[in-house]
Formats: sequence, structure tokens, C-alpha cells
Amino acid sequence: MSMLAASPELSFSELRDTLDMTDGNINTHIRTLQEAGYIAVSKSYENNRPLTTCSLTAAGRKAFINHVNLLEQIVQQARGK
Amino acid sequence: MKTDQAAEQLQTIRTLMERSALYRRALAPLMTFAGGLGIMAALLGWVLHIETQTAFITYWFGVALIGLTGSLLLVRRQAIKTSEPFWSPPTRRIAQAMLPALTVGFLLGVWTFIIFAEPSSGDPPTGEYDDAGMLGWIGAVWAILYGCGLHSAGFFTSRGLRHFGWVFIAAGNAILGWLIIFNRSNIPETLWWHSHVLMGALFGGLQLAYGLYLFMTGEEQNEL
Repeated sequence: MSMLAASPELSFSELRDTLDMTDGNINTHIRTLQEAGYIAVSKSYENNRPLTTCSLTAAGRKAFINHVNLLEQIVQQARGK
Repeated sequence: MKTDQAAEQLQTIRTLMERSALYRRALAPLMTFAGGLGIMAALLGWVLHIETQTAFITYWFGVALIGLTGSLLLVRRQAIKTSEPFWSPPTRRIAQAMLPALTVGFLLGVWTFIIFAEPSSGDPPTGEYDDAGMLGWIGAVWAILYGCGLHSAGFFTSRGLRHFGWVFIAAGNAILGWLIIFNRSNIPETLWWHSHVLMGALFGGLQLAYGLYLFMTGEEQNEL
């Protein structure tokens, strides 16, 4: 989600390589986020190779921003004490 | 949720967002450029008969400088194209990760140059005949150090770069083994051009192959 928040879209291999995860592991994460409606997955072909790209949906971006805001609030509150 | 957990999560989010700056796309032209330059430089070194130790070191320092300048210009062009800052935090981290290994390689070249720049006494134990072996050694050690630098940089980009770093480390050590086991250090008549070929194969061939691999498999194994 963090990576997708910083890029318009990322391919499956870019996500897998940067996060250093196995194909199966990242597949599970993507499917869970897709089912939650947080990311959109599109499949196409490039140079006769299957290309899967992921991007954040509006709901995903909103949820991500809310999550970051919540984390920042927790940190801010602790600093204020 | 505890405060330190929240801070840790925020840090992870920040790091991942920075990593998302898509180095993979920038890496292919960089490697192809560096590889092409390495091969051309090796051929030119061979044709120009750059065979003394000091000339060899100076020549390859010059090639490294051209490579570094060209790489920075390519990164800058890529940054302008994607409307990103050139000296972004991820770029800075990669530079910092590579710096120790590259500095050691540079200083090693400087010290070796100074040793060989002094007039040779012709007497053992540092006679010219024995010293000629250093040509192959320094190329191999440069490759090992460059591999260490790539491996460190790989922690801030894709894991492929770490694997590529290991290829350099393995190749450098294989050359050291070849020099020792087959006593190649004691054949100065051929070692100078062998050293250019090795430099071309390592810094040219390997990087060009990796660059072409990245270009060709830019979106490999995308099946979900």
C-alpha cells in the first residue's frame, strides 16, 4: 500500500522485488487487498509476456491516508505528553 | 497501539514510499551504458598498448570517471523525465551504500599507482618482473569491491542488484584464483592485455549483459 501510494501503478515483479517477498506471499497480499477494494489489479500483455499491474483505488488511498493520520496522531500525542 | 510501534510503522511506510522510486527502470540504461563503455575501453586499452602498471591504473581511473559522470547524467535525465528530485533520499542512500567499497577501490588504485610510479631498482623483491602481476590482481580486487558496493546498494533497490553484486564478487575471486593457480602473474608479456580483457569482461560484459537482461525482462514473471 505504501509503495502504491507513491506511484501511479506498479507491476507484480516490481512489488515482489522491492519488498523481497516470494511470488506466493505477495500474491496472497494482493488478493486480500483486492478483495477489500483497496487496490485494482489489471492484466495485459507487453512484448508477448503477461503483465500484471496494481494501483491504489480511491477507497484504498482514503484508507491508507486515514491509517497514516492515525499513526501520526499516536506519535504526536506521545510527544505532547 | 504503542507509540514506538506507530513510529516504526510510519518509518516503514516512508521507506517503502521512497523505494517505490522505481530504480529498476533507471538501472537498465545505466548498466547498458557502463557495460558498453567497459567493453570499448578494454578494446581501446588493448589497441593503444597500455601495458605499464601506472598507465593501466590511470587509464582505468579515467574510464571510471567517464562512467561515473555518464551515469550521474543518466540518473539526472531520468529524474527530470519523471519530475523527481535528482538527489532524492533513495539516490542519496544508494550513493552512501556504495561509497565505502568504491572509496577503498579508488584508494587501492592510488596507493598502487604511487608504488609503481617510484623508479624501480630492478632488484628483488620488487623487481618489475614480479610487479607486473599486480595488473591482474588490481582488476580482480576492483571487481570484488564493486560487487560489494552493488550488494550494499541492493538493500535499497531490488534484490536483483544484490545477486548481481555476488556475481562480481565471485568473478573477481575466480580471477584471483586463476592468477594464483595457473601462475599467470609471472607472465608479464601477456598479462597486460589479459588484464584489459578481464576488465572488459567484468566491467563491460557483465554490466552490459545485466543491462540487456533488465531491458528485455523489464516486466518478467508478472503472472499473478
